[in-house]
Parts: sequence; structure tokens; C-alpha cells
Amino acid sequence: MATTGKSKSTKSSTIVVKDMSHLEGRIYFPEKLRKANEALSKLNFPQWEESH
Amino acid sequence: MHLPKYRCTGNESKSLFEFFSEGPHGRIRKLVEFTRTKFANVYNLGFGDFDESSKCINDIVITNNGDSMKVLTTVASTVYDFTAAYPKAIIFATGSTKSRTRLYRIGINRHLIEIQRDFVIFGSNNYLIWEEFVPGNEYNAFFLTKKENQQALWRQLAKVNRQNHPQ
Repeated sequence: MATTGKSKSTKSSTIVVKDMSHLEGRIYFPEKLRKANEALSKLNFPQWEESH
Repeated sequence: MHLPKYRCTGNESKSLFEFFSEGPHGRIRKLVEFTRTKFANVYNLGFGDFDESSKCINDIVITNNGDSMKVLTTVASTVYDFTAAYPKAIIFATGSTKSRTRLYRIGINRHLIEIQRDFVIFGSNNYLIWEEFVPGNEYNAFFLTKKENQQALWRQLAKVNRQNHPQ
């Protein structure tokens, strides 16, 4: 597992950037996301513009 | 946050973070995920135990590794990192179970002063009426965003409140 070794200090933490491509490409909480979208749809929040 | 937390790694896009909880139940891999919702700048926060066999995250289990606050502080550190990369982000968070939601409330209560230096938190117990987080009140859903976004978010939530609680 490649580690870039880059670290970025934020105000409150130093998190090391790492190659996590083996974990990317899927949504881990699809049900939670579905429920979030359902709840948020009642709040009339603007949706992402198409360019996103 | 200068409270005890675990060392964390994250991917380049800051959508995924990983750390290991260590305690009586051993070394447990935890993942934190920020996922875009359908709504502009709103991201859902999820985290839980990564199951090596199923390659899924379990966000219902209570691991009981004796380090709940340290885990929450670590998750909070990912929020700082995520919002540094996406300053307009509005984080939406709910607990998968009542006990997890209660844990989030406890965590927020404990760190509220520090959180409020940089962020504003809104809570609701029914998704319909929202208020700025009040310690001791029961909520089952939270919005968190950087203070610079507070007015815009509150305008949106105030509209919701008016629709759901006409005066």
C-alpha cells in the first residue's frame, strides 16, 4: 500500500495522505446516504449545479 | 483539537479517512467517509468499523474498545481536514442508532466551546425544526459548517422552520 508520505498540518490535526485507491470507488453507507437525501429533500436545499 | 486522538490517514480527495482504535477488543480499523449528497455543498458523514471479510463498514456496532471519546475526537479531526479542503461544505450527520446519536451529542457537548471557535452546529430532533446547538437538548440530526457559512445556512434553515412552524 503506497504511502505518499505527504502530511498536511491543519489547525487541529496532521493527517497523512495515503493511497487508498483500494477503498475508493464505492459508497460505504448507501442506505444512510439515501436517508440523508430523503431528509434533505424536505429542506429545499439547492441542488448541485450540473457542472459539478 | 488538542485532545487525545488517533493518528489518521486520508486519501487525496479527503473523502475517506482511516485510523485504528486500540483497546481491550484489539485493533479495530475505522473508516470515515464524506459523501456528496444531491444538495449543493452538503456532505453526509459516516463512520464505523471496517469489516475485512465483507469489505463493508459497520456503523451500528458499538465496539466497546474503551475509547469512544478518542474515536470521536479523531472523527472530528477529519471534519477539520475535510472542511479545510472544502470550506463551503455543510456536513450532515445522523447516528445510525439512538445510542450512537447520543454519543455524538455527548461528544459535541464536551467539545462545544472549541468547535464553536471555527464552526457552527445546528441540530434537529425531527428534521423539520432546526436550531443552533443547545447543550443538553436532544437532537437526532446535525448540520456543521464553518462559521463563514453560518448566515447562508441559517437563512435556509429559518425558511424551513417557518414552513414547519407557521406563526
